[in-house]
Formats: sequence, structure tokens, C-alpha cells
Amino acid sequence: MSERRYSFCWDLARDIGARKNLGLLVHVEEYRLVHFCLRDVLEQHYGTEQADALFRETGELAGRHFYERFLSEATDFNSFVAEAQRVLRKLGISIFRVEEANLELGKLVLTVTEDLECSGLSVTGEVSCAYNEGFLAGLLSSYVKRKFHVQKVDCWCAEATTCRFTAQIFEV
Amino acid sequence: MGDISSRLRTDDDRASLDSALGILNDCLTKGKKPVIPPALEGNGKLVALLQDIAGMHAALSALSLGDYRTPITMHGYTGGLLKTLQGNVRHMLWMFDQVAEGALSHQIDYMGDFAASFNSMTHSLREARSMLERQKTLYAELADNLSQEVEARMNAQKALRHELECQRELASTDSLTGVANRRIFLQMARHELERCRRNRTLFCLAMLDVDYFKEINDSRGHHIGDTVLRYLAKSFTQNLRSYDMIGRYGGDEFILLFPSTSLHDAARTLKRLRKSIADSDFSDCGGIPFTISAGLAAMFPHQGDISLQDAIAKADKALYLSKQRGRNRVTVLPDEEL
Repeated sequence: MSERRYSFCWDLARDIGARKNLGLLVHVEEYRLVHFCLRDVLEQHYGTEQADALFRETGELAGRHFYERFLSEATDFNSFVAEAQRVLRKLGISIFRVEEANLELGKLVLTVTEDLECSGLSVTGEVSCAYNEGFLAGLLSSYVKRKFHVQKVDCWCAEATTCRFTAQIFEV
Repeated sequence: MGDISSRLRTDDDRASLDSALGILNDCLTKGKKPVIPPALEGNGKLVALLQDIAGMHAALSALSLGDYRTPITMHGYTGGLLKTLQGNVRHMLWMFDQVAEGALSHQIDYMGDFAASFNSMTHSLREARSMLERQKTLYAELADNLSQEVEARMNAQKALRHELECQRELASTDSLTGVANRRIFLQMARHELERCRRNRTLFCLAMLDVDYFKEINDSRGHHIGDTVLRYLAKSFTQNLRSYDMIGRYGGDEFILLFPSTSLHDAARTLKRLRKSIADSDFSDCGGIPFTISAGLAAMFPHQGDISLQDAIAKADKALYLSKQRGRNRVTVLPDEEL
């Protein structure tokens, strides 16, 4: 690729004081409008599989930036998890929990509830959470300094939608 | 129910409904594995419903037995509730593991009273650990203070012991010559006398002084006289055995005691002492030549009521004889001039 124009930096996302009347918050509906329209276009251009792959890659890039901005001070896995839970909740992104974690084996089971990508949607099991998969992989890879593969393995809805993911280190 | 019944057109329809409801009732209340009668086998909805109930039974059974890992296959709202319960418990178990490893900062905000108890527990553990850390710091400080106190007391004790030794030394030593003073010498001599009496051995005691010491003092001054006495004491210490006793009796008079020694050996030792003094170049005592005279007395204390004063008097008498006979000599009583 020749010279890039859209490399991400936090200046694009932070509060720059420009929304004096509307503030910092936006409806989930609006977020999903952007998210799913983008997916729609990507699918039309590149097919479903490639659209998911691009969303996964996007999530991973976001996860890495998120880690650098909010979680890089974590001194151990507990503080990493606690801070991730706190920030994700505070920013209204999701409720993040750990069900199992064995960092020596590089295997984790995680749940994400009330997330932006699929909460409230049909829980047929066919709904993609590619962005979330990538986001979690980005977070974990940044913390452990090894590449993670994250996959949604279950999705259900009770009071709120919850997705369960497995995460596994893999060698490139 | 009345509406449904009204739509059942035949007795068979009604019987089928009763049968289906009976099966469902058994499934829910008795936990029976459903057996679908042939008449209802083709009812896909009933079969799916019974499968869901079976799945719910399996999930609830696993949860009630503490199995939170078996995947829950049931779908829909009820399945979601079961999965949420399973997920929450799994997350809480992970939290307990972290607490067990010392991570006490975790808090949870779901599962109602259970969460409240967990948070209360971690709060108490945090406080207990904080208190233990404070106590650890306190005890470390106390231990440090105690250590300093012990060290200070040990130093004080050491200084006191040193002072005591100095005082004891001062109390038992002649300050000019460094040999035993008269009091201590006599005390040791009494013990030796009693030992000789018990063991029926010979008690050898000698008195000696510097010939013409008064003239040295008068002509050269007392400081030269003191130098002579120090030199003499040093010679005794260097030439006698470690267990021979040396004391300053008074003025220029010294008193010697030779434990476990024959008269002959004691006399020979004294003679060697006298000669070494006479032959000395006196460079260590300001070049003042001088000689010494000595008197040696030997006796068996067990033979009669012999006191230390008797022995001293006898040695003094021998010294007197040495002076009479021209000085720079040793006289032994029983009378023998060496």
C-alpha cells in the first residue's frame, strides 16, 4: 500500500470538546447502524467470510489500542482482568467476565454480556461476533505478548444476551 | 382449557391431549424419562418440547451436583437462564481461585446475596491482610528496637566487664611493676601453703631486694629507682615459670613463691636470676648497674604448725644473711649460700 491516510490514533476517538450540545454518548442503535452497514458493504464487496475476517482484524486492532490506552499498567493477570472489567463497563461496552484461565497453557474461557455487537439480536447461534472475537484476541495478545485465537462457542439470552468465547494461544 | 376442549373434535383427540399432558406432568413432577405413546409419535412439537425438558433436567441435575462444566444444550429463554446461572457460577469459581491465590481486590455485582457475601468476605480478607501487614511492620520495628536494645545492653555489659577487670587488676596488681601486690600475693601464698600441707610437699618462698637501692634513689632520683623496680619485675616475669608467683612486698622488696619445686631447683632458679641481673647491660633501666640479694626458705608445712608469716620471716632472715655476707648473692635456709 502506498502512503496511508487512515491509520488509527486516539486523537480520532477522544473527547475533543466539539460536541458541546450532544456530549460524548451515542445510542447503541447509532453504533450498530455504522457497524452493520459497514459489514453489509464489506459482505457485498468481499463475501461473508471475508467480511467477518475484516471485522475480526478490526476488533483485534481495537483491542490492542484499547489495551495500550487503558490496561498497559496492569502488573498481573488479576489486575488486568479487574481493570478490563471496570473500563469496559464504565464505557458502556460490555460486561466482561472470566470463567477459566490457564495462562501457562494459554487457554481461557470468557463471557461477554450486554455487548455492542450482538446483544439483543437473535440467539440462533448463527450471529457473528467477529469484532468481539478480534477485540478479545487483541486484549489478550497485548497482555500475554503472544498471539491468541478467540472463538465464540455459545450465545444465549436470559435477562441479557451473553456470549461465551474460548481463547487459545497459537503460534504463527 | 375450555376453548381447547371445544376444538377437540373426537374422543381420540381428547385422549391424545390427556396423554400428552400426563407425559408432561410426569416429566416435570416425577423426573421420568418421557415415553411417547405411538399415537403421539408424529407430533414434532411435543417431541421437541420433551427434548427441551429432558435437556433442562440434565442441566439442572448437573448444576445441583456441582458440575458447572458440562455444556448446556437447551436453547431459548429457559436455556439462557440456565447458562447464565452456569456462567455466573463458573466466573465466581474463578474469582474464588484468584482470592485463594491472594488477589483480594475482586468484587462481583451479580447473584444477589451470594455476591454480597463474596464481597464481604474479600473485604474482610483485605482488612485482615492489611492488619497483618501493619502488625508485621510493627513487629519488625519492635524486633529492630529489641535488637538495638540488646546490642546496647551487650555493649554496656562488655564495658562493665572490662571496667570490672580493670578494677580487679588494679586491686590485685602493683601499679608500678605490674606484678601481684602484697595483699593478693599473700592470699595466693596462703592457698599454696595449705595445698603443700595437704599434699605433704615442700613450700619454697624467697625474698629479694635491690642492693643499695636507697642510694640509687638518693643519687639518681626516685624515677630512676622506679625504672629499676620495673626492670626487675620484668626480668622476673620473663625468667620464671608461668605458675611461679611474683609479688611486690614493699619498697624494693619482692617475694617469690615456687610451687611444686624442690629446694635445689628453687635455689638454682634464684641463682640464675641474680646472675642475669648482675650480667645485664642495664640498657633497659637507664644504664644504672645494680645487683640483687635473695633469701630462700623451704619447709614442709605439714611438719608442725608452720604459718605463712613463719615462712616469710625465714626467707627474710636468709635475705638478711645475704646482705651480711656482702650482697649480690642468694642464701638458702636451711643455711646454704649460693
